[in-house]
Amino acid sequence: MSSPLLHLTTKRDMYRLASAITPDGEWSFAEFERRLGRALGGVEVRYMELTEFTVGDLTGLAVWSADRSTAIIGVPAVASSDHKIHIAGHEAWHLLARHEGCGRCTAAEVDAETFALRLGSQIARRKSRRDRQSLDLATAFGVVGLGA
Amino acid sequence: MTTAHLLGAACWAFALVGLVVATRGGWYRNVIPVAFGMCLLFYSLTGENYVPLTDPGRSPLTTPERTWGATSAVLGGCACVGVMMALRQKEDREAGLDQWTDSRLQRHLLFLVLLASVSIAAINLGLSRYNLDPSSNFLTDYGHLPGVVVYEIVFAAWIMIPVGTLGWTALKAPRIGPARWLVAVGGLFGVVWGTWKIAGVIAILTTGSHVADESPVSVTLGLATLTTNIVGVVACVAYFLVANRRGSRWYQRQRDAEDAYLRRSRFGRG
Repeated sequence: MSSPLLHLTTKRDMYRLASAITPDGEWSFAEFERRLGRALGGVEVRYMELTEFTVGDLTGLAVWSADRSTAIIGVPAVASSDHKIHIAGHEAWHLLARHEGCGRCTAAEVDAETFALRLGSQIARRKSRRDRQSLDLATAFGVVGLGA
Repeated sequence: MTTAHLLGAACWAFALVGLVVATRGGWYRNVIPVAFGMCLLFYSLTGENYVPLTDPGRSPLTTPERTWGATSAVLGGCACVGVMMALRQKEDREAGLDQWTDSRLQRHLLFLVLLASVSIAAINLGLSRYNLDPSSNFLTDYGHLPGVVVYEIVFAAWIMIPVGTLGWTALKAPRIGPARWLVAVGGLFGVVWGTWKIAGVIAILTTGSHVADESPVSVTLGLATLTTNIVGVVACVAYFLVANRRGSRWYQRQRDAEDAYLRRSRFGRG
């Protein structure tokens, strides 16, 4: 059951987690792995670019190791760099929200896509040093949670 | 309703803007907008404190009012410089560190807080050691006293340096929109205002010139600094929100198109 407070809390959590896993400077998947691992409570995260997918409509995947000490995120190697970040963000939300076996679960997919859009659109507009300075200043001015 | 009433109401409205920014930052657990909101709040309270100077029929400011005005300016300036430090050092931070683990930022912030504390102590010590009667010509009457000189210089420095830095930072951030020029002009007003204040103190000390505290130049520049900065910040936020919405739509269309392509290719149905 969805309430306005729940919506606000989810929005806040998404903002906080997107900020937590976004590198301060230029985007790097190594820094993303480290930050996501910390946000997940100190697990190892491995980002992998896969040369082929053979499972239905999937364009990305997130799996845990049997002992849950390692999480693996896979994205198609042929995707553009923006799309790789988007897919990684989508899969990161599944890990952060502890979704289990929700490959077709609509609500979980909608939330993961919302998170990926938030993270990805932010990263896409933080490419140059000036862009990052602008977005950080806008956040200081109070845009926090609304887009930056 | 007099001009002073209108300016006072505007200062309280600006303070409310600061409170909203700080509260939003608190809700999202982001310390930078909290600090910036506090900066707007305290600077607005500084402006509100000195608004009576615009009323010709006012009674002179008392020493406690002057002490509070300068103290709130130091608090606002400290918050502003802290935000600028955090933003500046963010870009050059080593991989693996963030604002909570960057010891260089922590050292600099600690030094900043100590400097602000010393400044507040200096203002209080400087003004409280004299039994000053309220005066309409504060600088002319008391500008020769060392404690008053310290008060004036500390007060001016904690406005001109932070506000000037904010204006310069805004100028180098093109994505926050054309209103950044308003913030930059606000910064320039702040620097000119501070220079005017310090030059006045030096003029009185060295030549004994007459500089009225309620000088229209000082009051006009001070309130212009506050107004242009806060209107500029609000306009930047409005611009950013519109641009952000447009950018998000464009981004979503790009992702939808690439996703559809991947699903059609061998990366989809295997």
